Amino acid sequence: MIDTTTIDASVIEGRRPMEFMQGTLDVLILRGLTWGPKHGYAVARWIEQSSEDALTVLDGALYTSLHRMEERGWITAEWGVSPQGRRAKFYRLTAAGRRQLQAERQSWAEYVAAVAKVMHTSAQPA
Amino acid sequence: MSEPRWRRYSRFLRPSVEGDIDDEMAFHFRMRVEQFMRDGLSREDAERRAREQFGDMSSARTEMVGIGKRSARRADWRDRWGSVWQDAVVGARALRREPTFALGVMLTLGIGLGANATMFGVVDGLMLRGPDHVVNATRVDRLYLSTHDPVRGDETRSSTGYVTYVVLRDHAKSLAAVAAYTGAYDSQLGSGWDAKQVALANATWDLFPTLGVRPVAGRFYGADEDHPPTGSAVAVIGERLWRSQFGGDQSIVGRTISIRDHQYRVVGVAPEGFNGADRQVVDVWLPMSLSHPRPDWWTTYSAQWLRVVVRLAPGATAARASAEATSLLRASYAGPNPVDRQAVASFRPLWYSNAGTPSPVAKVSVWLLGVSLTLLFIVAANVANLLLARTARRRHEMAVRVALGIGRFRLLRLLSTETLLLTGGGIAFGLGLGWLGGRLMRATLLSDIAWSQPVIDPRVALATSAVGLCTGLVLALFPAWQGGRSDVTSGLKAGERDGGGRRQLIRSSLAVVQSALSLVLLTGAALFVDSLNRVRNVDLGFEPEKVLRVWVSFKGLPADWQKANVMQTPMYKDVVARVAQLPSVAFAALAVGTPWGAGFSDDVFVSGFDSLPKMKGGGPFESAISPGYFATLGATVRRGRDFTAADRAGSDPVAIVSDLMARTLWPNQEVLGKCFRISKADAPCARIVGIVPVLHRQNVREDPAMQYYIPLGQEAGISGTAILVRAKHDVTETQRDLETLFRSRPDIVRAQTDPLMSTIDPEFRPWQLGASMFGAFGVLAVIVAAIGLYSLIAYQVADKTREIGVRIALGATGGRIVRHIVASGMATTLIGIALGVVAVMATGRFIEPLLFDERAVNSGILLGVGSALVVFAAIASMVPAFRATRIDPIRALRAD
Repeated sequence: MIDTTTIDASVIEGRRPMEFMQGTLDVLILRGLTWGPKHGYAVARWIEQSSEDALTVLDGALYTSLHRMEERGWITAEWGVSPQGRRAKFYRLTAAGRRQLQAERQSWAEYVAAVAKVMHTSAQPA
Repeated sequence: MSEPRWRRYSRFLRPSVEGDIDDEMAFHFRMRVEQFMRDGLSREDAERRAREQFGDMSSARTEMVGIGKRSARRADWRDRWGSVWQDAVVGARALRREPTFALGVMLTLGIGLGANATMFGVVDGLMLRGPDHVVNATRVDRLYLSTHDPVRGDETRSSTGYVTYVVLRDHAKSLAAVAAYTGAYDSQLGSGWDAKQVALANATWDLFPTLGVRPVAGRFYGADEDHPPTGSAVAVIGERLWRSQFGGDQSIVGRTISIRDHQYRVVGVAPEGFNGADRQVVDVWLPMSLSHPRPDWWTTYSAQWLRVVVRLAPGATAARASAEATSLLRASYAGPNPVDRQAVASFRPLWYSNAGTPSPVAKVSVWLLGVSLTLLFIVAANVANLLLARTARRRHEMAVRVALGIGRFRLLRLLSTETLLLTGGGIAFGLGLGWLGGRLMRATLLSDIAWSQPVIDPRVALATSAVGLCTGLVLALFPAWQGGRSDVTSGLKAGERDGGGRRQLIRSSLAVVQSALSLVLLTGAALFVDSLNRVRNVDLGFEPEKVLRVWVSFKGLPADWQKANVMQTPMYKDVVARVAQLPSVAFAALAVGTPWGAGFSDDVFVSGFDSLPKMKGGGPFESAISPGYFATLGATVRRGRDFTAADRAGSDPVAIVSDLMARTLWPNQEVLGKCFRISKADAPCARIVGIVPVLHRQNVREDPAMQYYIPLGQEAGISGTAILVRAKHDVTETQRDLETLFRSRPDIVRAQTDPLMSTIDPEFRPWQLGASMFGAFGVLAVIVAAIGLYSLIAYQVADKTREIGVRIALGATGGRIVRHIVASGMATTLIGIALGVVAVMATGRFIEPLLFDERAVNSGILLGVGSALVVFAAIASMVPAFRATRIDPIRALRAD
């Protein structure tokens, strides 16, 4: 079984490469699903658009992440019909997924705050 | 978002993990390509970008397929177990609605399975499992020697001499290891009144490696400490003794313990439960070379005091080893006995008795295992009946379920699940009851066996559960098969109750089989009870019930036993005189050579005989006794007189002989006044002054032998004086008085007082075991069968409510209805009794060897048991019959 610890972000058409930490992509996807069921493409577009194209994710990584989270029970999938009238697989957050997102958000905030503190320190501690 | 309808069918077209993933990816690519084309790329470029944007397609797909398959598998299992669980829940709910029924079935099954658990535990412990700490016990056997003597006939025994062990140890190629040991005997650890009774056994050093046991502390003694003529004074103690007497202290190794005033250095501790190759508890192991019957013990062929245990060499069979041992022993035999020279050696399992056959207790236990299986069958028949009745009762419900579209298979599964739930409860009850039963048996009937395993160990639990599950499966298939057959339309029709004749027939046949088996079990019980009575009433020639035997040790005696003997004779006489004065004592006497104690034989010379006629029981046997010996034992001097105080050392030699000896040696002659010589042909002739009956020596069932008695003091070469005491009223009261007396005397170091019955009692074991367990199982069987018959009749009555109502309405009297119903119950029982008698006649001869002088087909017993069953059947069918007379015709006709 492949367990990706880091997810490749890559330069596509001159965008900055972005390295995701483990679980970060998962959190982004979970967050993307908070507004209701989405198919994979919609999740990808949501990440791109809400980061104003600063973040871009390899679609392969995105789908493996979706499937893995489905297996873990954080999201469920159902086949449905897209607004264009095409058959698509829609993902929906489960209660476990919501809890997971909540926890990840919390630790993300703490992490960011910690990094920010370090970055903003001007003097070397004695 | 609801699942599209077609998905429901895709499951039937085999859900395809890969297909789903490919569909999902295809959708994604289309969306991406369209997006990039909207951004102004050509289709080709857009497709290329979409691929770039995706990354490594094949590895992502592989991972997703992996995840998908895993989940699918898991979901599959969940589905399967989920439905089983659902069935279980539905079943449990259904059972909870009928708690009496459910509890009744579980308890009934529990009784049957409990009986099996108890008996399997006993049989497993006695026979299947080797003695504790014996490694690979199936390769370990005991040596048996079979001889043919013209007078005594064929005999097989395990006792032999040290020479036999040496020959096998040094020469037998088919034996990997050979060891010799003696049976456990009582001795004292420490001295004086604080001495502790311990069980002692002698074993050659190689007993431990032969059996494969490991010490828990220290080591076992080795070849350098155990060799002829005399080994080192070392001892191995058992873990039980180590813990109880020495607090499990490691420093015991190297310490010295005192046994019967001899000092031994402890070299190691044997693990708890290790009793060598036998099942008697052993507390202390001493080298074989430390205690022996005679000075030339390692070369003599005449003393046979030990047993030989062997481990077969790899690849060797018991048969091949036996053949090799036979030829080795015959070739090397240098003893005086031509019968022993022709002995046939054989190797047999450790659980065989000293006579080379499965012990009576083992044989009875195997029978009882069969009996408990029979009981289980009776119980299962009852449960089957109950389940059938229930299925019939639920016919309406089943029909409704079928009509509502439940699959036949699913219905079967539902019904079987209920039965299996009941079985599970039954197994739980059974293990509980088996535990109780096993504890009870070990405490009472089999108390002299050293049990190593808990009553219900994993093996017993597993076997019981397996038997229970098999029973459960059969039971589950039975009514399920019946229920599955129910016809929807007739089931839904009101008023129709039972499926009619065929099912009724099944139930009646089960009841017939039940009463047949009950008859068999009760007959067995009666036969054993009868045997026990016979064996208890065997005339032993004396009355042991109120007799106590006392062994006394005096202070300050010389080590030389001959000098000691001379010195202690007056001491014994003094003690016995005081004992006789105790108010609770009727008689007291001294004896060397007592029943169920020591037996001595010496050469006897009678004029007119070159050699004495040989008797099957051996002998003649000699005892040296004081006056009052016969009165103490409760035997009568038939003719002549008892010894008096004037018959003593130095006075004219006199003797009392058994009537058998008198008849054999002086047929049709006046025996009183005749004389015979003891030990030597030129010894002074002992004049016969009295004649007594034959006293049994050590068995309830034994071959007769000649016996004679001489006054204490006139004996030569025999020793070991016992005080025999006859209690006036209660043995335990007398025993207390004796203890008090002995403790008050400064010249007595210690004394041990035992009722003679405690030595004789174990002989009744097999019959006690058979009588009580056959009895218990038989009574259970009858109760269960009676309940079965009752429920059968009750069901028939309920089934015919309308018919009976009509009859009553047409003027049938209560008596007629009762007669009608009871007759059908009787018919069932009588057919069963007839079948049972046939079964007894067919199997009876197999059990006859276990009975005491009794034929298995005993018309009196069969008649008694049969009548008892008829009475039970009458009661069981009378109850529902009388209930039937109270049927109100109007309500019966209006019902449904």
